Amino acid sequence: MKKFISFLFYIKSFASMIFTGLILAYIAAGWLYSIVMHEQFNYTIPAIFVLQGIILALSITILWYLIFTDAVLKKLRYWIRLICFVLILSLVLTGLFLMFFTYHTDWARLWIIIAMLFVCVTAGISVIAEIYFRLTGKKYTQVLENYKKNISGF
Amino acid sequence: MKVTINEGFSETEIIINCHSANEEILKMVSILRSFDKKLIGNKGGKTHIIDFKDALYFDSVDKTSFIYTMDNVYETALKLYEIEERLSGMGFFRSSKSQIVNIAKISSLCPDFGGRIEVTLQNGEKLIVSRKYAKELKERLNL
Repeated sequence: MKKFISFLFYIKSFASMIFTGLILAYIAAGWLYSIVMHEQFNYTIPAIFVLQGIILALSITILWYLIFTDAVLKKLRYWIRLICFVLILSLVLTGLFLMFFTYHTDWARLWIIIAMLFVCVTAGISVIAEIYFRLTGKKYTQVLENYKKNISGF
Repeated sequence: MKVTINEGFSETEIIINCHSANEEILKMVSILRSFDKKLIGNKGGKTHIIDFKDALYFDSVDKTSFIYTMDNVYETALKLYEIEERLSGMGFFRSSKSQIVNIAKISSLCPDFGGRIEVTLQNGEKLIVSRKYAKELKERLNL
């Protein structure tokens, strides 16, 4: 019961944080758009965006919990978790996009290209970071071996 | 509890006379054993004496501590902080809130995102050193 309540608190606070971030991003993007397009910025948020925001915030929170905590995937390297996260998130976002904007095929195509690029860039960065970590790891292991030799009793 | 000390013997011997070897008694034995750097572990209803050098790491799950060796896992009556105190200065370090690792049994180290370090033990098992404790490990190894 204690674990379940702490899980619920985690979901509530994380999802609230993501939702707040999405609303702020919407306001910031709308405000910038109004400056660029010389239009009056309307602070009203459409109901559909609020609904999308809630679904997205919950999806990200649950995904994060499943991938980045040790609740399901134990002792997994972070780069694998990161690639899994962006891949699944992109699929969720694409699904949401297609669900809410079925008739905007040009936008959908553009979104899919952006999502794929996002996944590829993240995967590339993760792999490069992993190579760097492994090289650094060899140095760390060498230092560890020296440390072991210098301590009596080993 | 009655404590009697009889002097004049060439070797120190401790004998505990009790109704049954309950948790309190086992804990007492663990503390006494720590003087000659031995640990008491329970497995399958049997009590085992484990040399601390054979321990790969110690883990605490749901307020119960376990000793992991190359081939076995033993339950111990000692709390993790007590193990840490008894093994201080003997080549062990905290890898997370719930784990203590034997440095001598680490075969390789590999940093990870978020300042964490992945530790591979001699039995191939991998453990994660959290950011807080990774910093301490780096300082200890002069990295």
